[in-house]
Amino acid sequence: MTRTLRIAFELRNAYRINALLYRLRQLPFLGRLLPPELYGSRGPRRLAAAITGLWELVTLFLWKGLYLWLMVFAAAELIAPGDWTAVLHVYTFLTVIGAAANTYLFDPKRNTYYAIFLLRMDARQYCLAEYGYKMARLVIGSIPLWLYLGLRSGVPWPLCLLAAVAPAGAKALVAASNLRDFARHGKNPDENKLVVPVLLGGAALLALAYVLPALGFVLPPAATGGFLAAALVLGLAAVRPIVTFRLYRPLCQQMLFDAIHVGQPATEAARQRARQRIDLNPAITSRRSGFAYLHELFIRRHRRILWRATLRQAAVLAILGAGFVAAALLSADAAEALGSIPRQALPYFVFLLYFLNRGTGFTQALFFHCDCSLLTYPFCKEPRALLRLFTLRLGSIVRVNLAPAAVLGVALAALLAAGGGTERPAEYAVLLVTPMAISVFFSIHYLALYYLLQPYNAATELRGGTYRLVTSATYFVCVLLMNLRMDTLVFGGLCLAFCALYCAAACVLVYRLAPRTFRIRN
Amino acid sequence: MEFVIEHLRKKFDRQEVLQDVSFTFSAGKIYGLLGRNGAGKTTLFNCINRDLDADGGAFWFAENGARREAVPADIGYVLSVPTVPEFLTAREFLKFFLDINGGALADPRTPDEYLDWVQIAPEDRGKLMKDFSHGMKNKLQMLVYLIVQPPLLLLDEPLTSLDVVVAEEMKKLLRQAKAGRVTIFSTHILDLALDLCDEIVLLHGGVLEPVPREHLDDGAFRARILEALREDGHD
Repeated sequence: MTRTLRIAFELRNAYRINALLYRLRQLPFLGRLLPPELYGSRGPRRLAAAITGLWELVTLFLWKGLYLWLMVFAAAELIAPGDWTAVLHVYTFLTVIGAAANTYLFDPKRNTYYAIFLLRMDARQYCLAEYGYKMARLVIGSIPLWLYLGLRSGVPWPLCLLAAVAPAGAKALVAASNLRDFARHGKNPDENKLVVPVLLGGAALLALAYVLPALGFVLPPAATGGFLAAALVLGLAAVRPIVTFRLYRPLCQQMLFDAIHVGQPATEAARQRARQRIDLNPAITSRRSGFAYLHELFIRRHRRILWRATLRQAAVLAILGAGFVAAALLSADAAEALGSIPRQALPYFVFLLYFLNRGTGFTQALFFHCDCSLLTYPFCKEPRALLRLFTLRLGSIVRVNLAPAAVLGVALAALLAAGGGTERPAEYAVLLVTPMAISVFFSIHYLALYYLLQPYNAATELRGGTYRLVTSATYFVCVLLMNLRMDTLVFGGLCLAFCALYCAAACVLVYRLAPRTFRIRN
Repeated sequence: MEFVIEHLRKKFDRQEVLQDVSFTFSAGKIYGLLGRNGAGKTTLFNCINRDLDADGGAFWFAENGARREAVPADIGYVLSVPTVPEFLTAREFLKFFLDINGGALADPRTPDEYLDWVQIAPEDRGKLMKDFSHGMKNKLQMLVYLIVQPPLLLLDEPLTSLDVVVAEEMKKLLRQAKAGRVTIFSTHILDLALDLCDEIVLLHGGVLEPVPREHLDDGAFRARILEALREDGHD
């Protein structure tokens, strides 16, 4: 097992080092200075190994810390200020969602394919080594974070320790149950698959996590602590069936075959999966002509890819918003706590809208299903044709992103009204319009980036270093914005002005540069 | 009319794929472009089609002593892996294509008339192209260039993975369409090049080298071509 763990670690490390060197070579300016021999040179490889090792160490705490801070502690503080039992309440429900959605055992990756099917490693040993490593990271990362954040919020230290280790138990329990289902019924437990009952259950649990405390109902520590302790004990009991399970190879074979069509490039598999989602309904047609005809058929035949997620987001936001507004109307305490959210949390909603916006998915669908073929035809590369399609697509992506943003805007304005209202009526308008303006900004931002830095090659692999850099920068700016404290009217006004200026500038840039930049990468 | 390439250069990192490509292609002929894997055939096509920026050199059309720059509409580029918008049916694709290009055609016809020409069965014309075979997609891709008849047609190993019947149909179409334009046909397969092409050009060592047609029946000369190709590149 130690040898397997070492080989698995070396394989993962080689993969990460090569990926890092590859990405460095894709960077603008710096990439030109780095020769292709870099991959074989000992010095750069050691440096890359040190960087990836450091990153492994940083991410031991980073993502978990962000998750705990944003989703648990900050959220609980916002809903029920100063109440540590609300922290445990929110955390317990999120632990159930996390255990069901991410066990660490059923996440097929190409690494698994390389290790088990190309390098012929023992499937059981490989899966258990990887699983054990991830579980150890979860526990080691969670303990100091819980002790730091939990003690600051007033959670007693034994409960902090329990909260840190209990998710590992809950995950093990679900993993053992899924392994049993696979052995008995051959059910594919791939957790990347979207399963409607799990999604609906997750949404319900999410609502219970946040809406109940807003209504003044918080599970007592005896209940949350008891639940977490039970998850831990049952999880420990689940270790034995996980370790002694004998069907890891057929399990991996099924998950990998279904997920990535073994032997094909990952992107080709993604294309095939997406191709299956083109709507075959013969009634879908268009009366338009030229590029408008092409675009309308594209949008209508890819409705599932383009619209389904955004409509679900809008529905979840509407339910949550209605829940918060109802809580504010029913309880004076809740009204006091919730009424301040729209004013104080507007910068947080920029981050939320960043996550909700479908820019990347929309442009990826455009390339995979349309542009990777259209751009090989000279008549589609004419400047006039490019710009005509750009304007048509801009209208569509704005509409797609606008649905959840509009719901969010209405919910914020309604929450402000239900929570006691404001003496400045302009605040309602700002709360209503700002999310929509931000969503328009993200729509134009991602479409303009796609046209100016087209990042995909003919094999539909993401190759653009500058594109990655700019999209990462977008994420960090959104994170930084969360620390901004500003009056609602000022923040909203600045957002609207920035969005208007950015949109104008992006359109001008696309009009001027896209005929040169929008082409298939080599 | 001639298509002239002069001192075209392209390198990736330190590897000079195209060192100094110069050649004059004449209209009405199919040129077989032979080269080993990695010799730079696709790179040459990508530079001409402006999918890649060349590091130096130029290319243009020469007609009656006048020089004219090659614009996108002058070039048809058929890739080895056919790329058609798979969410459209064959009929819809042609309708879209004719909407865009119909004004430039001397004798435009209906989509079905064009599909008859390349023998796409009527029952297949209303199917989404995602369900088309490789050969059918290839025919569609070729068809749009046969309709607009660009002065330069670049074919990057278009027949390599087709069954014998479709390959023969495609060869017939190419022979019918070669008049008045330069057709450059890239392939690994010497026999295919000898069967279809009027001239043979080798791309090796980053340069283009013509091979006179009359020698090609000579077994010794074939061996020399293979020897020349062996000297360049690796598998």
